[in-house]
Formats: sequence, C-alpha cells, structure tokens
Amino acid sequence: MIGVIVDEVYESPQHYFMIKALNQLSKTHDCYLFTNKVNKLLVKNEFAIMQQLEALHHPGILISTSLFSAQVLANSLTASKKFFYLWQMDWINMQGLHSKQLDKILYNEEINIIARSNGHAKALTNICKEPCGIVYNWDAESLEKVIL
Amino acid sequence: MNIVFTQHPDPRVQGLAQAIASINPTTFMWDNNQKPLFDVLYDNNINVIFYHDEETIAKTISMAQAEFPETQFVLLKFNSLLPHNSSPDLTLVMEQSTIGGPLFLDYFTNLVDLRNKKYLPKYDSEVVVFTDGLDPNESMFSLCLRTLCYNFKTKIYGQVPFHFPYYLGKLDPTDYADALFSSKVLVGFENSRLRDALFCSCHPLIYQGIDPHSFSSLDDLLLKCRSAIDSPPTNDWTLDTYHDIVVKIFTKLEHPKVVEAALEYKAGVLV
Repeated sequence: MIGVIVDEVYESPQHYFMIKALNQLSKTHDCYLFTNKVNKLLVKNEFAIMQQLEALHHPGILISTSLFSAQVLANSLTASKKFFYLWQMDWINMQGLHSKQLDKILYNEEINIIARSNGHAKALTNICKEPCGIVYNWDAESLEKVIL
Repeated sequence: MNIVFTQHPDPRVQGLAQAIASINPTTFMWDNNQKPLFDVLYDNNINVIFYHDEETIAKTISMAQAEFPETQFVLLKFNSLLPHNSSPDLTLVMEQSTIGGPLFLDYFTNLVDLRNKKYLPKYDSEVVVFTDGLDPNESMFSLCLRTLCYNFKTKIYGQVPFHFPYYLGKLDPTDYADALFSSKVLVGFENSRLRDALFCSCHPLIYQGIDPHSFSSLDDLLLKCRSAIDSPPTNDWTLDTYHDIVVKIFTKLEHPKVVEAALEYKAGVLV
C-alpha cells in the first residue's frame, strides 16, 4: 500500500507527474492520495483520493511532499515506512523560521528523505542527512525502487 | 577569603560568580530580601564585594564603603553611561567584547552554558555562519555566503533571514554552544561571537565588513576557512585563558592567596 500526502491538488507540474506516477503504480499496488482539497485534476486518477486526516492511520508506505504534510507523516503511528519526497526546500520562504521547526522533519530518524536531483541531494546531505534515493519528477520506476 | 556578589539577572554575573567560586569556595550571592548588605559584611568578614551599577545598589555600596574601609569593591559595569555614586577599587566592564580589552571580562559571559557544550550530529558542519549584524541588502554578502555553501559543508543561522536552502532559521539560545562546538569554523559579523567560538574550540573568522567591490576579500575568506578546517583542532586553551583572567582580577585586587590558589588550580587542571 502506497499513500501520498499533499496539501492541495492543483495545476502544477509536480501534481501532473505525481498523478501519472500513482496511476502507473496503482496497477501493481494499492495507491492512495491524501489531500485537503482537490482544485483540479490534470489527469484522470486511477487510485483513491481521501481526506488528509485519513493518512494518520494508513498502514502502508507513506510519502509526504511538503514540510506541512510532513508534519502529518511525522505523527503517523501506523505507517510501515515513512518518506519525505522533498520537491522544493520550502523553508526558504517561511517567515520567522526557527531551526527547531525543522528538527522534527529533517532530523527525524523514522523519516527517509527522497531528493529530486543531484543538487538537492548534495544540499540535503550537508544540511541534515543523506537522502535514501533520487527520484526525478516522480518517475514511477525510480520511486518504486527507492521505497520498496 | 570571603567574596560576595550582588544579584543581577544578567547571566554573565552568575557565570563570573561560579567561575570565581570554583577557585574560592567562600564565594556567595547576596540576596537583598534575606539580609541587609551591612549585616552580611559585618557577619562574614567580607574581603571583596562584586556589585553592579544599579542606582539602589550603588547607594548602598557607597555607604558600605565608608563603614567597611577594609573591604574591596569591584564594580561590574554594564552601562558605561550610567553614573554611579561609589568609587570602586576596580571596575570591570561587562560590555567589553573584543580581545585586548582591559580585563577580557567578556570571556565570562555564559561561561557555564558554554562549558556544557556537546557535539550534536544535526549541527555538524565545517563552517557555521551567523547572519546577525549582516546587511541583507548587500549583494557581496549574499555572494560570500553562497560561495561558502558551495565550497564547504556550511550551515547558516541567525536573526537576519537569508533566502537560501542552507539558512536554517534562528537558533535557540540553548543550542548555540552545541552548534559552535559541532563546527570547525565560525564566520560571523559581530565581535561578541569571537569569545563564544574560542570557548567552543571553533576557529573564529569575524568580519566587520567585506569590501563589496573586491573579490580578493572573498578569496581571502575561502582561503582562511580552508586553512582553519585543515588545521588540527586546538587544545582547550580557553580554560587557560579563563584562569589567567581570574589571576589578573585578583592580582589587581592584591589578594596573593587567591592568585596562588588560581595558579595552583590552573596547574592541576592543565597538567
């Protein structure tokens, strides 16, 4: 079972690639998308879309996609494996950032970080820990290799 | 030898009191609510009193000076502009922050906290940068910090936000010493960081200003960082410095016994 947590689904390259990847993965795995709001689906989904809150008792692999959704990931007691697919380093734009805010996510031993590129992987290694893998633009095959 | 400190919320006073108490066991803090200062001086045969420049304290001290001429009075001066009514035997300026100051007293700041430092993997870095005192509009600083990040394992903290992934926000004061201790080089823009870095065996590079029209200063920074990272870690010489300061204070106060005790303690610790 693979669950992905996003804050909102909207028109963006990230969500286009994500839905395509989940469609592909759903042929061999049970896939779920946990979100607070669906603004627009660029591709027809072939997997379940559920309320973000449901992610808290998802029993399989759980992947978060932003610092905010990673808070849900960090608090999940049922996930078998936890991954944070860091699409962008969103703390850059946070106002009044305090280093403690990042501790629970970036330095959380339970959460494995997936980088988006070699550059991101290098930066993440310097900042917190070495990513468990690199997945370019939600490439389903690479993602499967990293998380399974 | 009996030493009294008047209470002050500044942690530097607490740090200084504890530093001196490690050499002189009969050092204590005077609680204004428990006993009048005159009674403390009378009952305990006080030799030295450390006090600060608050108006109410200064008034009491000037009266005590007249009553107990044998006692020596050390003024812990926080604000150089504040007038005080007493004439101390020795004045220690707490705001002194550069090496080479009269008594290096600023080394005592947060002494206790800094000595409890520990290595934490999350702060592990070659270069730690504190953005406090930095002008965010100065493009050379931005270039400087980015270059550091690309060349070294760098982490950036501080009050001045920097739009870059390596900027990890404001640092909790309780983690400050750990961040310094877990890094090899500190790049800072405030003199006060110098002392803290030295306490934590972190090589300090303090920049008051980088010439915005010169790339040579940037090259210089990179070379200095590389040299500091490659050099072997320094011994805990700050302990040596610390005892030197205590010796200096008591030499000025002409208390040979305490000077001897400090020297012996220093020899015992460092041998």
